[in-house]
Amino acid sequence: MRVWQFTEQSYHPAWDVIEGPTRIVVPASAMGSGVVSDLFNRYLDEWLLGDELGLDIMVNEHHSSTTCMSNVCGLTLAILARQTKKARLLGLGAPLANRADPMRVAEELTYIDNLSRGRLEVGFVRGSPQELFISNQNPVGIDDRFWEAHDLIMKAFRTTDGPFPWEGQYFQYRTANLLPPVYQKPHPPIWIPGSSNRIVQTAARMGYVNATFMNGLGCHVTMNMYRQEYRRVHGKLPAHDRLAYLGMVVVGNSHEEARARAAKMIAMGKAMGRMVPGTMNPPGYTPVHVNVKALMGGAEHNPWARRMVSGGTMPANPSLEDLADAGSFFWGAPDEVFQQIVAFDAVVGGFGHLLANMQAGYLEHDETVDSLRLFAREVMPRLNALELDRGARAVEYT
Amino acid sequence: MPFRQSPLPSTRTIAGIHVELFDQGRGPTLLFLHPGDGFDPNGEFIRLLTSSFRVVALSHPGFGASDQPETFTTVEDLAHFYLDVLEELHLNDVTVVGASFGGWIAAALAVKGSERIVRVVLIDPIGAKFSGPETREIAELFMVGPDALRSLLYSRPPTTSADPPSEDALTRTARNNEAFCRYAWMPFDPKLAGRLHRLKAPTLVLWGDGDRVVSLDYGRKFAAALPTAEFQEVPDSGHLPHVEQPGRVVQAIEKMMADGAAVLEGVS
Repeated sequence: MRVWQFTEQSYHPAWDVIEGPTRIVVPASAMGSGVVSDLFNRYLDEWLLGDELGLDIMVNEHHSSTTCMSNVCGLTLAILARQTKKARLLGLGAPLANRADPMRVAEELTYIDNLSRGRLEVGFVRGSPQELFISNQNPVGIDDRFWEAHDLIMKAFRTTDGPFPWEGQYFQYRTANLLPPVYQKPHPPIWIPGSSNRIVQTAARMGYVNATFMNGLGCHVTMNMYRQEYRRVHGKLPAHDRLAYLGMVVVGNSHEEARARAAKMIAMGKAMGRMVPGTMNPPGYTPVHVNVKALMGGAEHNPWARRMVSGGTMPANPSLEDLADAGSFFWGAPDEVFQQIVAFDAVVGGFGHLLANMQAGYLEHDETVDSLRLFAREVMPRLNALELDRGARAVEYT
Repeated sequence: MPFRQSPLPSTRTIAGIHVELFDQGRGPTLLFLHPGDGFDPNGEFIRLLTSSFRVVALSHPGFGASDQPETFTTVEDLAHFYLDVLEELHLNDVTVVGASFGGWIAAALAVKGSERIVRVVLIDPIGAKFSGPETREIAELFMVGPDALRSLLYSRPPTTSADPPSEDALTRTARNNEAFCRYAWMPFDPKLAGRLHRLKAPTLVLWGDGDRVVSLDYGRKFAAALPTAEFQEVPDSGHLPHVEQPGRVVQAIEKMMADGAAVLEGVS
């Protein structure tokens, strides 16, 4: 199991001083420029440490937000491409349906791939619903726009005798020609996160890595859908490295110390829940029949949604212990964290990548560093051994 | 949901698109273009209109149970489609009445200069942009919750039925929401204002005096951009006067029709 160190690069100092939503409508005056600089540098320092410790790195992107200051995923990755030595660099990613110019996205990615000498992993992201109110792209047609941008970028990656014309429904170019080309041939590994049927099944058909985020054992359904579609199309089950799961992770020297750290991190969830009304499900973002089902009180039933590894059902206001049991938040002394991850992995049928949100909320730099070191020294080697037990990966990384 | 969604009486294929059709009443022909929440065949407004007029109305492509052509993404697509409607239904001497989003379609249709259109009634239309980039003239309709949306639309939000809506009604509502977002995510066409001088048919512009979506001031600008328009306020109404004051709106339309083409010059 590969572990990808992730942080949203939040501006948590604002959360106590602003009222209401933490994104879209926050006044810029709530963010102090010196503090922003300190935090950006701090988060990069923590990633550089992760590189030294043998972790891989994941960076994301949101806009007009205090919960995620990273607004051009590629900028952070470009710095890390130059400053890290070994870590693979996952951008998860470029919100294709929100970006007006997919060729510009491809150019950013190509720069990172070359600078890092082929350590880039490309995540194509449809984009979360609230982002549409910032990019101003129409929620209706978002899937089609996403896939057209994907097709265009993949064509640009693969084309070595360009230019080529692109006269699509959403994007038009006279002369699409990605110069310089990508470093990894024919293209870097591709990831597509998401849990909608169309996303998961298309990712399976194309053999891309599919990642699900923070949904605990609910990801069981997504991962099974991927496996079934993959087997239907490719005639065999996918290797574990086609599936990824994002959860929060923090380690302490003792159970008590870890619990205190987890309590600081969980503030992230509350901050992210402070949404502008009406932005979570704009018309067109979700298919009509799914919306109708939800309005009738019968949202798509996921039998695993609130289950816990120990067999119970997660309560409405889960404790930190419940969240660990549900697989949303792996926290504890090193042994406990290892056991939680292994138990979760076993229930969902095995996944090859843990996207580990290891800094969030109010967790301080020193605590983050200590947790990272503990994880790298005492948890990761055992997870790597677990991977060996499961057999070799289908795709070898360079 | 301000009204109980229900199917239109018939269906028909026009310009290759399968649409729902309402065609009732006797008298001069009136083509009604519904707002963003769909067509209500059972509302008081339509009941009153059909006592004096032949009322033709469709669920716009994508709304209600009308098909959504994938190639239709703008109000211009709908305006061109309604040119086909006028021709295929052989509608002549038509008074086009459009409310809110329907008013935008009506304006975009009428500027094309069809001889079949003899009068236009615009009820609190959206769709035109008159001020600079830092002025929002049309209220944000998507980045609000449902309660706030009702408060924007109505001076007195209607009570909703206690009965749970049927799956069919919910599907219609969800399709209406999606279609409205498809065409009106940005609720104006930056080119429309520059084309309004082409709307040469006599036009009545009605405006709810308490409209919180598009102000009276916006309404006066809209009317002023038309060569021949009378502007009238509708008292005690928000953005949808044909719903809140159906009697007054129908009276104004009847008076316009009775006065024939004699329309006041300029704007009140």
